[in-house]
Amino acid sequence: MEARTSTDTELNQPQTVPERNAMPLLPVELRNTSGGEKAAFQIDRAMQAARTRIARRRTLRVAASTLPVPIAAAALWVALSRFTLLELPRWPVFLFVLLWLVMLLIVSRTHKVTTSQSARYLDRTLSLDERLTTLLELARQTPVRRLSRPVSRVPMGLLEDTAFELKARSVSLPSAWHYRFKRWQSVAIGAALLLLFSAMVIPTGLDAVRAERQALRRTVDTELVKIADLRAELVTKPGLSDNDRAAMQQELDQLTEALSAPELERSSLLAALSDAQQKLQSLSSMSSADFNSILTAARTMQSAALDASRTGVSGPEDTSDWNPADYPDLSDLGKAAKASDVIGAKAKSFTSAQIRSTIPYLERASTQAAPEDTELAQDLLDASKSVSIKDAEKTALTLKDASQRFLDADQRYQLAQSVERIMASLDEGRQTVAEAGTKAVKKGQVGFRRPGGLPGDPAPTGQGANPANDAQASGTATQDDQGISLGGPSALGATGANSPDYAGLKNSSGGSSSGGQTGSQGGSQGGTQGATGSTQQGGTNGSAGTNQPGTGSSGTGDGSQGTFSGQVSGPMGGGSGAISQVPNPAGQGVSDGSSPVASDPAQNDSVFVPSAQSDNSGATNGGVPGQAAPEQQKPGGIEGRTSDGGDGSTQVLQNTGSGTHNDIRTPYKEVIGQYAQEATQALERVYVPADAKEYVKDYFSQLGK
Amino acid sequence: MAITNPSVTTASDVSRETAVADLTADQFRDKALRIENELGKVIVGQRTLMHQVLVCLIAGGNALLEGVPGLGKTVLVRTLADAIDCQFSRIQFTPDLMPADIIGTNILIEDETGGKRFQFQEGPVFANLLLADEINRATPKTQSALLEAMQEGTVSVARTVYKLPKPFFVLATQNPLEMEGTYPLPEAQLDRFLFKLNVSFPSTAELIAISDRTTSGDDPKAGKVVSASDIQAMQHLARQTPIATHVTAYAVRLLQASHADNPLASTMVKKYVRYGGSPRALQAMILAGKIVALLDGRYNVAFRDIRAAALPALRHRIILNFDAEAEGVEPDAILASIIDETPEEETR
Repeated sequence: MEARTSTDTELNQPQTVPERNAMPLLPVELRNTSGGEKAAFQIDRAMQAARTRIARRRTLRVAASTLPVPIAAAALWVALSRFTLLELPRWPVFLFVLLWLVMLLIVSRTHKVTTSQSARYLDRTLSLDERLTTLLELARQTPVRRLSRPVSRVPMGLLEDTAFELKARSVSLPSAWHYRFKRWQSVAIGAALLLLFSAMVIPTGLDAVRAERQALRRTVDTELVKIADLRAELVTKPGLSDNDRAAMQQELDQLTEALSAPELERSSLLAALSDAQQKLQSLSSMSSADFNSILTAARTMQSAALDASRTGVSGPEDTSDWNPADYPDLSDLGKAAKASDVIGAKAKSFTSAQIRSTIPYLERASTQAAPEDTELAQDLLDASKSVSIKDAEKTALTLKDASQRFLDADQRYQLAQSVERIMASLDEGRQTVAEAGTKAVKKGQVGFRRPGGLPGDPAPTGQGANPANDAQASGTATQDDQGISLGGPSALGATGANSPDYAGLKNSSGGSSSGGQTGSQGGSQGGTQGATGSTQQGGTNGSAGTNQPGTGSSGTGDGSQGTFSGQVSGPMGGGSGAISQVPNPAGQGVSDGSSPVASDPAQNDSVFVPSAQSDNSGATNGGVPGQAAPEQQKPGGIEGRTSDGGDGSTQVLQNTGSGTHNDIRTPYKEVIGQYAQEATQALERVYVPADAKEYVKDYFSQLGK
Repeated sequence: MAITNPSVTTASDVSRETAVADLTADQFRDKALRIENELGKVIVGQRTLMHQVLVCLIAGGNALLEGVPGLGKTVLVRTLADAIDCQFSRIQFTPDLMPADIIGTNILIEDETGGKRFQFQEGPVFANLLLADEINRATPKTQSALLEAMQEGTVSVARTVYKLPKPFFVLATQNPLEMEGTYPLPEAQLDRFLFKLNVSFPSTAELIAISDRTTSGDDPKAGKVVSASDIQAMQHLARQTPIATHVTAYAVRLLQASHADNPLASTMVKKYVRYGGSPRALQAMILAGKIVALLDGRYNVAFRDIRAAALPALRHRIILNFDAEAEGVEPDAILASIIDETPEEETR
């Protein structure tokens, strides 16, 4: 006890400022005792430290005990979201942790640490031999009414002794954040973490399904935006009749409703898109390409009016030059109608020079319009004659009729354009939907990829690919994709045939295929399509089976995952139909009927060249089906453009008609460039999905090597 | 260090009620040390025994010393009597010892006028320090003569109650080996003893010291260092020592744990104890714990003080069953298990 004297002196040094009211853990009467002020301060400070440690330790204990709960909940949530097809968001995982933290906060705030607990903690931790608890208990027993009297029940010695021991041993107070996990807590936390980790990393096939669904949802959302844009575009598009506009808007609205369904099913989406396409298709059976002749005539009429306006000596009525640029909102057809009106109005004051310049224009326009609108051609021709005999009245009358026909054609043209644009967009959307989320199967599903012949694919090398007529050619191919292979260059035919949608739309006679659906399965029926196409007519492309391809060489290609075997039809025949967008969707794979290299053993260096284009008689022409008569030919296809190279080295042997070999043969190298050029031009003329464009280009680039 | 006893510094009601001299805690400890030092002059080793005897003395209780002959039990008591300036008596218990031989008796005397009257002749129990040597050799009837003296501090003879002098302290000894012709103390008698102290055999060094001290030159003598009033003052101060409620609760749990039918009872207790300690055991632990704390220089009772007092306070108060006796299980082993398994803080 003597040794404590010096320390007690230190304790009484004024360097510690007692906080009288900061934390009155000790009763006031105890502080009021003589000499008890600083001792009480020491005790208060230690008690505050103990209170903090107890609270934190309690919080840590609760945290360690309950931590497995949010982890397990998160693991369960992750497992549910990964191992089921429930559309569960990820944020609840963090919500569990957040709730746990809130619970900890509440626990730490609501569970107050009592003075007795603090005192016992200090007694136990610092080995104070129950000094502090005894002191506090004695202090509490002191009645309040004795405040004015000396505290009789609290020994001063006990107070000072406690303060001294507290100060001396306070360095032994453990860290506020020190906590030793119990065994069961460690096991529980470890198990929960293991559960969470397992739920996160165990592979599941549902991930791909879910990703596909998400991709599908994104795609559908994108398509909905596009449809909304199309609808807005329809509202502002001039030249459309109200009925057509309303009909198209209605179709788009129905499609929007179908695509907005909460449950996304790829097949139903594709069906909705196809259905919408079919209905839209019924609104207009024409494509913008059908108006090429009239458009040409319309431009001629504009030139006529412009020329007449500029070159003639203006009469009294002629107050200003006519310029098509003054009608920026009108199409060429609308401007042609204006031009017809202008010429008709100016006809009575035409000068000789104007008459001389106008007549050829009108005649040329008549000729140009004749393939598609004979009445318009006739009106223009009549107008030409009227101008020549200076019959202004008749000229005005006939040109007025022509103007009206231009306007009618313009309306049809606008409708066709709108339908075409919507169809193109829907077609692209359909392809996107079909591809969404299924990289492995997307090409096969959309049916745009020809079996084999992919860029960079070494596939169709085809050993023994000496595809003589009716001969079987087998080839071995190594491909990245699903083992699609082709033994021969029946690219377009197969491609077209692989588009089942076209068949559904236009109900073409041949080439319908399920290849798109099976392409992902390691095999393609593209070859079959080629074979089918080779035995089918050219669908609606006229020619009425003129190019019955007869037999093609059979090729067999072994892909990495599949083997394709199919007959190879002519290189260009029905393939053009495949890329044709709307009117000839069947992709019927119509072929000219010749085998690619026929009997030439010189390794594919001789190909069939369609016969003369000038022969429009599809019934007898053994050429490309697209070369049918204009009235029979459906617009939009590439067909008919692919075989115009019949000159030069082309040798016309025999044109036997359907089902026979075409006898025109030419070296392969000489025509491939021409084919490619024609194909490129055809791609630019009509809408072709970008994927198909690339495909066609790649195809020809491969052939050109 | 100015550490004062609350009863002294605050002039509490308690201090006013008693006539004993005020004593500070330092004085308490000083006097206790002086007594121990005097005992140490004569007794070699046996520090724990001397300490516990001192605790008994200050607590105002009685102690039962048990040990084989020759370990210095009687010497210890006699030395204690020498250190304290008080009245000392010794009774050698024998089978033919009568109660009157202890407490005294009325004798017929004749006064100057020739009249005769009974006058109480005090027995040896009328002393401050009583040595009841080999108490188990007396008959139960004689042993029972000490019951009132030990518990009440009085002696009743022929409807007259005689107060014994204060302080009154009985130190009894018994030999555990010679059981023939002895009368084991009944439970009621044992319960009157605050402590039962086992006198252990000295160590080698202690034996050498004993031989040196007792076979050469003059026998060492203890001087009187404290008076009877000092003992009273120490007893008074000891009772003023505060004890926290949860420490008391710990002592209660220790007591409860000694009962086989209590949920706190250990496996050993349930197996070997027939009956546990009485409330006197609790009083003994608390009071002894206070003194232990004071002797340790503290002003409050700690758990360890209770533990220090538990063994001698409960040792003679638990009654073992036949299994324990058959298997030779000692009470100390059972009490050790109780102390080990009873938590300081109450568990819910």
